[in-house]
Amino acid sequence: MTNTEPGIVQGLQLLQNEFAHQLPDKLKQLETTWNKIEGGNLSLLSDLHRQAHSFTGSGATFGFIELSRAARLLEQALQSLLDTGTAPGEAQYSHISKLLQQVHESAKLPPSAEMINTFGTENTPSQEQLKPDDARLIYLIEDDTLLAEHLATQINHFGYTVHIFSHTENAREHIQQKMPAAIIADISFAEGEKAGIESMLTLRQEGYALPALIFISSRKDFLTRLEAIRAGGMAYFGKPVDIGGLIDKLDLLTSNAQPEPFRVLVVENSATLAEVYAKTLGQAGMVTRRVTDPMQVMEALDDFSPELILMDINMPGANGEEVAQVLRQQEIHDSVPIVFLSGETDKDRQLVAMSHGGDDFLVKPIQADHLISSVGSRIERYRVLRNFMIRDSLTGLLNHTKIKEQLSIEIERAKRQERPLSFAMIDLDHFKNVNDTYGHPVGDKVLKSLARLLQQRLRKVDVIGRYGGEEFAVILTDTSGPDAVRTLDGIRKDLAEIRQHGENAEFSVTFSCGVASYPDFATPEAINNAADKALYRAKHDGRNRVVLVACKPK
Amino acid sequence: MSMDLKRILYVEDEPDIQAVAKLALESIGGFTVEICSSGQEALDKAPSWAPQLILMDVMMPGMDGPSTLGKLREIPGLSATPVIFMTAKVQPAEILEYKALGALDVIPKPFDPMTLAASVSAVWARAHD
Repeated sequence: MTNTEPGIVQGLQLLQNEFAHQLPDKLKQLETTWNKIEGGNLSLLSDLHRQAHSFTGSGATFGFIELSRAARLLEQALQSLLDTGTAPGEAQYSHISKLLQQVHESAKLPPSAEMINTFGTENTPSQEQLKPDDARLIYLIEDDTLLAEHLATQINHFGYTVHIFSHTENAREHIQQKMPAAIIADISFAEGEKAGIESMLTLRQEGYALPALIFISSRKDFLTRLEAIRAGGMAYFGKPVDIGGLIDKLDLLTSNAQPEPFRVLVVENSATLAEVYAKTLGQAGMVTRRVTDPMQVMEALDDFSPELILMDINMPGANGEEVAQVLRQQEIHDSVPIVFLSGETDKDRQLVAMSHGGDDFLVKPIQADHLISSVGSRIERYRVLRNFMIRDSLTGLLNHTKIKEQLSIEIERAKRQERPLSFAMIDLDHFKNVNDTYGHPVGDKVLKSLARLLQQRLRKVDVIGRYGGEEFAVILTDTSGPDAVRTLDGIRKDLAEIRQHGENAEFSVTFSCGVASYPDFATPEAINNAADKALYRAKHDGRNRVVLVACKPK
Repeated sequence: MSMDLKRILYVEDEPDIQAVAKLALESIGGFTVEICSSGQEALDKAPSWAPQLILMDVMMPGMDGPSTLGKLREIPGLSATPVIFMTAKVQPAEILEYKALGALDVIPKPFDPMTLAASVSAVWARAHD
């Protein structure tokens, strides 16, 4: 997420183009000045020096790094000539002539994209919008045909199209012709014990921007893993492959959804510094909120829900350590990472700060890129941890605690906005039979397929959770009871049509669902109980149906 | 709490660099930037424009950065206006020399347009905290 405001990137691009456009004329001026000097007009030496100096300063700023470098050498040679104040001899003429030639040569090199792209929008093929078919296309490179077939079937089941290749060469040709949404590659092949890694590396060296790349291997040593990462591997699965984990990775890596920007609360009593940090992080696409008075931190926390707090350690009123201690004593905020910023180079003070609940310590003045990477990597880790805390590990849906918490929040919101809300409880029918007949792994797969179906069919604003066992809960925001029933009944019909794969057998499953709505029921407990009763009703009436609880008599 | 930096006088003879720095300082830093193409123009313009900070190239035709700084200091009202030099010469000894001349700090050239504003703000903040 390195999105800069497009206006700046475009502005810089225009200036870079303009500089490149004028470059030939400027080089010609340089040449003309030099010709006159060679013709005997030594007074122009300082002009030539100035022109060289100008290239030194401007070249690299516009991405012509080599030009800057060559111009600097020329500038230095001319400077020493000017310093001695003597007329240049033949050797010096030829030296300067050679340096000039280098300036001309280096100006022909294309400008480094660095000026624009370091912070600009990246534009690799994998990030271009793939056509709908291709967005689900997976290449599986695996020489064990049985394993390949098995994996392909499983992955297909989750809505992907899998092409199997048993040789790296064959796969490479196809990748060069058509890029899939993801590549899953084994590492050891008959053609080489690390042929999988090598072939991907070769493709990258040939300039192909590979999509999501996942390695699977029975090799578990560190070096192989490292090599896999260097070849661009974004995930690594040991064999036997954990299908659930693999699907999750595929979903994550091939999803076109833009990740939510990182949220950082900047607590710094100097408004200027707070602004500098906010702007720097903003350049990297992060969202920030600034607080200059430590007393306002609590309010900002509740209001802004940051994923990281960047806090000055020396503040009037309450210092950073004290604020951290206060935060850490409150359960709801005790996991948000705190990074201290300070001019302190004192190790002891840093250790004390850490023991008071800080997670990291950055010493001012801090480089922009260091700040961005420190904050970014902390938030990424925080998100992973938080996922463990609030999500069900099998389905990735919210866990029981979190969805109940969310129900209270959403009902409050519905009240404020005077909009309806529906709450549904979903229970798979005869799920115990599935587990008993096909085994728990198949049962788990069924649970995941329902989870995915719900995720695919419901909106982003809806909240989906696994209540436990085969029971799911859904909050449909801004949705009346009858509308919720229509949506959920569609999902019910779809699920009944999906073929589930057990060992040597196919089967299908159904669910029963109970729905209750706000404002008919106005508290989390009431709506929960009502939906539970409706679910019971659905089961009792013969399963495989959606029941809306009758409006509570007023 | 420090005073917010808004008005920057930028002294630079290269039109290319002027454009990219102005864009960077205004779009990213949110500053108001006035450009002068020579030391003399800076001396003429500074008293009425009243910058909070002057950002100045060291090597310019005519009057160079250090000479301009010396003359600025003689103008009432500009004797204490902070000046940051921008230069490719950033050896520690050279930086000390510029600071001895009264420069607040030195920003190396070539600069990265995306972080120029942050560098200027950081120098300003250090000086005012």
